[in-house]
Amino acid sequence: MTFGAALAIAALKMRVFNDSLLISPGLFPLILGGVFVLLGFFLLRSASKRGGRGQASRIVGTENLRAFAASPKVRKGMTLLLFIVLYVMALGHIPFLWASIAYLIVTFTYLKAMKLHWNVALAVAAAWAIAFAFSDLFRIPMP
Amino acid sequence: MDILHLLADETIQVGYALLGALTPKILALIFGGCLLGLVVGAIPGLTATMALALLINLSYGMELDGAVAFLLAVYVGAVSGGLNAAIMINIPGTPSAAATCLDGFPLAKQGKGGLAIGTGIIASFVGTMFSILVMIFLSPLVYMIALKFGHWEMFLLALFGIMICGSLSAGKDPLKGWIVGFLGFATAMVGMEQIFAYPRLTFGFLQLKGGIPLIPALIGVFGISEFLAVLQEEVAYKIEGRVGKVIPPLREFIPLIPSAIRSGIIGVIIGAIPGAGEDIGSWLSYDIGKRRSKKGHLFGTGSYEGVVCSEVANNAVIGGAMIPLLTLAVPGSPPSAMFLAAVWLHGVRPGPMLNFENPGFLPLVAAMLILGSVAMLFWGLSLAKPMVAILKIKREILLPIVIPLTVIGAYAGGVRIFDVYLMLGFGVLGYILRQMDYPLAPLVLGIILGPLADTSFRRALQQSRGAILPLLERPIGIILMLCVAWLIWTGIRGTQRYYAEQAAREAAEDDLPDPQ
Repeated sequence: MTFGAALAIAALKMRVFNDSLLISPGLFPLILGGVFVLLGFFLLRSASKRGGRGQASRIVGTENLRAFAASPKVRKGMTLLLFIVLYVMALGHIPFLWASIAYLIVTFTYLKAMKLHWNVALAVAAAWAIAFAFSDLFRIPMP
Repeated sequence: MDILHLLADETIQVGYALLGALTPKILALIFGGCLLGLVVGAIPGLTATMALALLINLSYGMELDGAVAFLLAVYVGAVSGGLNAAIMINIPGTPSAAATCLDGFPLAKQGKGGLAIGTGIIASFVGTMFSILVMIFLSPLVYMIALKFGHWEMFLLALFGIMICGSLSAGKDPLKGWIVGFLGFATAMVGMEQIFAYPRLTFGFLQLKGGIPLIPALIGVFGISEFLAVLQEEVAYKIEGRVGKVIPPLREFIPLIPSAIRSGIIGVIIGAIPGAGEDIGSWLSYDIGKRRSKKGHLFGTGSYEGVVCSEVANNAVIGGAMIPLLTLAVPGSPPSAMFLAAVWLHGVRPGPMLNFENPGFLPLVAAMLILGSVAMLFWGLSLAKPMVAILKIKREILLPIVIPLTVIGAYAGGVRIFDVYLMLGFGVLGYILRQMDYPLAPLVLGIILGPLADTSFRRALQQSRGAILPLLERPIGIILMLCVAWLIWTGIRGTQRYYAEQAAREAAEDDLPDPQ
């Protein structure tokens, strides 16, 4: 609902051409904002009918949040995401080959893919093969 | 007579395109692409969409015919490759092979894994070829109808596309599918709109003036989110039984022909529905096959017919998905959305005008799909045993290598590091949506159809000078509006029923006596 309202407000601030909203750029985002508000309202209403308020306070409760953060699945997903974020950030500063080697070594090691020396060897080989194949063989622009 | 003339002409053009494609370069691209697709599809966790996302960057430097040949071969190979893992380890290589597990794995346990793979590969070939024939004969008819579409009808088509995609992909809670579809529409509003070139929702980023680039968004939504979702799960598996003989005797196939035809029809219909995809086609065909077959009671115990129902249908979706894609620019499945993004980069604009602007494109697609399915049959049967060996490689080794490939894919299209950041953003969005059980296909369809919906809606209103009534009198528009209304009605009813059942289940669980 909040997203819908924000979209509608942004749409209303858009320029109106030929004094008519009908063909102006803001019309469709305005309607979309309205649709989101409506769909959000339906979701909230059905959730509150099913005792959503009690469930919501349980979900955002300290105990539940602590259990969520301690879940191995969540931790693994978040750690892997963090590695990707760092890798992508690094790409703006260091060459693709080095960033990819570092990313692959860290990820292989975290996932316990193989023994460390094999992780390093595979990371170097894979990153080099990708960089060589795309830049030299296929002439694709590289980050 | 016009239509017969058109069909004859189309068939001749496909023949010419087929002859033209028989060059060493194109054949190498088709056989190479198909092999790559089969390998990616065989690895659990890597889908056909992911295969196209990873390999799309190779097509940037190719000529149009080479790119079409390569990408379609990857598509056919990846959809078919999923059956190897489904049969040998009971984990589908791609979601479209999930129904294949039900009979494929019991067959592998009986030592008939090779025969199940062989049957599945031949069924996949039959499904693809059937759908190509339907595509060749149906597309000219759809073109003729599509040419009658005005702005209002195009807007309703876009709306119908995300509504039906949302309904089908979200299962019992269509509201979630619709929300994601409209989120896709909202994403497509970013950047300069097409009538006045007025920049919208760019938040001061110059890079967003051109809009959200489709390929980084697709790679993020399907590639990054899939990588995270797959690797966070601990799934142990072992290869069951030995592969054994692969090519089944011909006499085994004759009783399966009616099931194959039925599954082919189901696959094509599901493929032609915007955004529905291979997995829905496969499950629906398996379910109908189980209820209609005389040997339906054997489904789930190791029935070749079950494998045929699933595999014919998921491959028949390919040709079916190409019909709305080529004639209306509405992709029928997520991998076909990837294909659409790739051909846009090569300057081809599928849609009602395609036959005038690029008259040879539809025959080219048909010819490449035919050759792609021949390559799939060849590799699938000859490499069944090595393919199973690939499954022995740990996912923890294979999947991280995917990430540098996604980075190249996102970067190479626009040569901007900003696109890599966008890919990452969409990856996180896709991951969150996945965790909350929201389907991803409507998001992508929304991004693709958003500009069409926006521009067509405003132009329709401009034509009618702001009056709604003249728009409501158009026959094709009335049909589309009725379809949308029906989808909303059935969707809301379905959502209410789903929540009522859920509440009843929870109440029943609460009433159970405490074991302590």
